[in-house]
Amino acid sequence: MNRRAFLQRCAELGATLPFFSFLLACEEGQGQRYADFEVNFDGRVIVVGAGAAGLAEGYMLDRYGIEFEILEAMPRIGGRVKRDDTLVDVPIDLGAEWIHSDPGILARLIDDPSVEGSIDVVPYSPDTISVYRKGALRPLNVGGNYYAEYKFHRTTWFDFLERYIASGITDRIRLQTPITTVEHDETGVRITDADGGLHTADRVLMTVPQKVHQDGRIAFSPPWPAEKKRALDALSIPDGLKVFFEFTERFYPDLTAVGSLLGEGGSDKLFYDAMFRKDADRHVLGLFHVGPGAADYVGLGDDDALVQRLLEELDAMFDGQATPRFVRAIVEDWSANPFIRAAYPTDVGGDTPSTLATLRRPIDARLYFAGAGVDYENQSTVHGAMQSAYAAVERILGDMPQTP
Amino acid sequence: MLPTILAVCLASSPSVAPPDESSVAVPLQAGLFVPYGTQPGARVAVPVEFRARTFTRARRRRSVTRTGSLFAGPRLGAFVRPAQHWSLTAQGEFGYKLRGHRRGVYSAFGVGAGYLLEARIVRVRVDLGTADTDVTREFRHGLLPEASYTVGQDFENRWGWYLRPSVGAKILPSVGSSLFMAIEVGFRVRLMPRRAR
Repeated sequence: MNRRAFLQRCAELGATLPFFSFLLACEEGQGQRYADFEVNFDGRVIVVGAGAAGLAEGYMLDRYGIEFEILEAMPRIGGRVKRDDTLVDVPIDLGAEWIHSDPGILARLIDDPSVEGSIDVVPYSPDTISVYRKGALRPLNVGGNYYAEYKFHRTTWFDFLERYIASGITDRIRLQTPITTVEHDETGVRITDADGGLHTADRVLMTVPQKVHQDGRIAFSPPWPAEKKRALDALSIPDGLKVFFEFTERFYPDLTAVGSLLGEGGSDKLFYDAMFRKDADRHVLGLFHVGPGAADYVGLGDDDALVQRLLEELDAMFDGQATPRFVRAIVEDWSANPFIRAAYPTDVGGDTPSTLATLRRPIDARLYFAGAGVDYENQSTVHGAMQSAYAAVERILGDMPQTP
Repeated sequence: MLPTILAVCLASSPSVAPPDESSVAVPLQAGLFVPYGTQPGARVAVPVEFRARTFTRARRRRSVTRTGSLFAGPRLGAFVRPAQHWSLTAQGEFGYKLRGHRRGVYSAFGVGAGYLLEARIVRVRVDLGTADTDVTREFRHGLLPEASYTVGQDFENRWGWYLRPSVGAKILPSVGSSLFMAIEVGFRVRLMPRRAR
């Protein structure tokens, strides 16, 4: 079950997973320091993708003095981590937003005791929760006792990555360089970008979204092993989008879960107060929609039409209070982005640990894989993506022999 | 699971006489208190009984004698939701208790209401070098009406045990109301027994 589904089910069922709060709290202090292994590699590495995993990879490679370059298809870093400064006076996480761990994870990801500074986060445990189902909005505040995570106070995941992870490696990032082919043999790896540029390396770490691989946007020669291809095909990666509405007044609870929450095809659609504990003067309602139902909205193909449809839904939910108070909206459609193409894997199917291990497994000691979609312990999270990258660095640098 | 434990406890306990009906004591209850099944805490209460009335009903093989009494008293509690908040409760409670004489087993229904103080963590400052955290709390005040059912047993000596599930509402003016539910299990001791007048 993905995190969103978990949240929704907890919100509706209350006591189904009563010890989640304990587990989250008990995570506190269970830190680990990553950069502590023997390096047996002095070649060149190319990292494909400058999302959380790609940036973390570069951050750690830089620490070890390894020659590397990050190729990013988009004109910006971050991938599904993105910031907006235009809607209100508080920066908004257009992409990944929640910290699915204890706050200390931020320091553990930086992994540098000499870093000076602090970040404020807020416990995200909604006080007011409603469920909208079969045309009725029902309060279910008790659900807040079974769910808690964290969010940034007046900053974002993007700010964290930009300031503490990417700041020292910006000169190694090549933006607007989508790759089309990856060839490897005993002599190394050759990557061709969309402009025909050739990039060579001894090792390559792929951190692009799994949907990019599923859609065959990058050609590999030789092709992926059959086992790895099967594991990739087993992933369910639904559409996903986020929308942020500014309103003149607040009329909504902290969290509203929409639709059937149980059974097959249950939607994963949440409206939430995006300014929760952010001490903001403005009122912003966020929509997080990842799941089969998101396809209906993605298919509209037009942001204005999408916003209008959602306003009509909000009017139906909140007795016509949305449209008169509406100011403006921002849409972040992951599915429409040609270099992201969907949300993230929500169902791995079958033996999850085995499938993800297969997806992480290197190919011929040349191609390595990391990202939110392949981390087992913290799948589909920013810190999980970064941790998978750190693990890949250790594998690339620690286990591999010297280059020929 | 819980019914099984209770059944074993009841079955294995010796057949004891009820507490001396001619004595009156101050009962003290103290136990583990777990709102929502996830937020551990503790509660103490002094449910003083009064207007006791003993009655006997004839059954096919033997008669059954029971004592019904009203009870009232304060109930103080504290509980914590790790990494989120700690809370204090101070309530008054009133109810009716019915105790059998053979094994000292009793059940009781009670209603109560009182004050809830919640110290909620609203911000956490993370030192990015050391991972140390510093929290900012916000205090919230509310009401906590509650209805409970208690099952327990008073042994011949001063001791006993009880299990007390309860439901109610957590009413915070800034938030509204939400369902409150808790389970409480603990011991019961009769203090300062004295001869009834």
